[in-house]
Amino acid sequence: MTDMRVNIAGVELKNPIITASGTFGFAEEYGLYMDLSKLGAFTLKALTREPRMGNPPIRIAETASGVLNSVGLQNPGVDEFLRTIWPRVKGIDTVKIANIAGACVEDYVYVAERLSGTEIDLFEVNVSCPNVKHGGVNFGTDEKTLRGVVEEVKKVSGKPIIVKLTPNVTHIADMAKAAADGGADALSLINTITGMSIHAVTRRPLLANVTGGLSGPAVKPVALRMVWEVYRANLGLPIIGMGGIMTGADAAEFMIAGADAVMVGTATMRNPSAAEEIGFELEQFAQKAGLNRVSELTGSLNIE
Amino acid sequence: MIKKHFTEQVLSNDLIAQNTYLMKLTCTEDFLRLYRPGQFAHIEIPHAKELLLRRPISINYVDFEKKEVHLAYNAIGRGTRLLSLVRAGDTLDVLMPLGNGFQLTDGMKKVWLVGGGIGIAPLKSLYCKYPDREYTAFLGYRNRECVYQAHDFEGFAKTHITTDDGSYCTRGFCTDVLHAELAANETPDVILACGPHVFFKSLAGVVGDIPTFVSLEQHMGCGTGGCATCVCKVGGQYRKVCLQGPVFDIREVDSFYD
Repeated sequence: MTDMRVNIAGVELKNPIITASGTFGFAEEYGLYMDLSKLGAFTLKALTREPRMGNPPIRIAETASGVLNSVGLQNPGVDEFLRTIWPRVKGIDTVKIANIAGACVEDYVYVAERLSGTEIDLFEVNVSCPNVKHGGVNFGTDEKTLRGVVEEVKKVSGKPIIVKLTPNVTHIADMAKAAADGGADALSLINTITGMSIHAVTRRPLLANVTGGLSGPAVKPVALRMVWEVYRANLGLPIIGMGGIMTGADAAEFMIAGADAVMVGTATMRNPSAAEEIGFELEQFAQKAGLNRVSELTGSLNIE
Repeated sequence: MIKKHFTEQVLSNDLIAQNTYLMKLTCTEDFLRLYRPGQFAHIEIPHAKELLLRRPISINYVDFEKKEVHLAYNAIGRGTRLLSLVRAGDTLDVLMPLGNGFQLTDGMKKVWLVGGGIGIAPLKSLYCKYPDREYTAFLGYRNRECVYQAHDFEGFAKTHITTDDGSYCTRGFCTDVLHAELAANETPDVILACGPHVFFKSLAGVVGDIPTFVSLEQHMGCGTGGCATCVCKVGGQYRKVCLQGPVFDIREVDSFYD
């Protein structure tokens, strides 16, 4: 039997499978399709200070082996979430990760403060948002801004923080280092790659927002490369890898590239119990490989 | 525990009108217990892993005795064209029944069904759950080649049929016939409708105080409420068509009153 437990910034997960933010609602939607306690962890949909309506539809388009979305962080706001949704979710017997987002540093700090006294185990800071006070440049694409937001959230969170890196940068390892310098306890990557889709006959974009975030197997090679680059930067932080994981073997590949755990996102859109099934497949993979601990996979890439 | 994720067998999959197919599937007791008219099935396209998203297809009819689910759909894109190639004996991965569906109270005796094109499909399902109502159907098709199941409706409802080009029955839009009936002082207890956006807009202008519920369509992701992509603006908020819909009160759908 392989020991499937992994440790992320001092928090023990039963196994390395985590559902990715924005693809798993507030977890309660999925009790019908799986035993939620079988997950290593689940990540809540991004929470912001104020309620957010999100972008107008059409918000989703299918591409070759991928999905483009432009939801725009629709959520009821952290206060309404804590009042109405959290009481139904907090009792689920697994690690709970809150994803926090904002338009300025103060927004992130507010959300982190409101959640710091709850049973949330880890924060994931979504830095793929435009910073409205600094010309709309994404927090995650400027090293100084990135370090700044991580430092401020770290001051108030009272729990380990994961920084979710955007792939829409030239050197992902530099961003990883900026997050580490700001006090990040772990890194997750990759968020979606910005893309667009066009209908040639009508000459219209498929998404009302024109551009959106690409996910699914189409992005997996890019994601693997970025996880590997961040792993090689030797920052001493645990890495959560994601990008098109559909099977247990996909999850193993991310761990081999350097991830300590993985997130399953788009796969849930196709199959609501995908995360549980991928966890089972990863366990079978690890047993077949004769591993004592699944964590032996991490960074085991054989380049000779 | 409630179960909504099944592997079902295809019993038949036949062309019934231009680009329109009727697929019959096996179903479980679990499904039959949960099912309400107006709900949909979310189907994984078989042998096409590169098509990541399921296709939402409204439930056309449920045969409770034979334990069959009937789905009518248009084969218009790559996914639904692949679906149209599925044969009897094949299996499909299906989430069902999803969505809220139509709910009739005991007092809703006179029921008007108003459908346009493929939007006619879910309306037939009312009869299998509520056979004791007095139905009138207003069905609009593009042309003669597109007509399907008109005789099925004639079997349980007083049926008005229109085609856009007049190649079958009355020329015009079914909403115009409905308008004429209302003008002649016919009043139902409830109107249930499904069709394209322009069709809903024209309906919104004439229903007045009559309780009217519409089944909306939107590009959909998970179908289970997790991704928040399939939204429509209802009551000033973006609501999830898969979970909070697809059926909404027509008065709350903002875009019908722009």
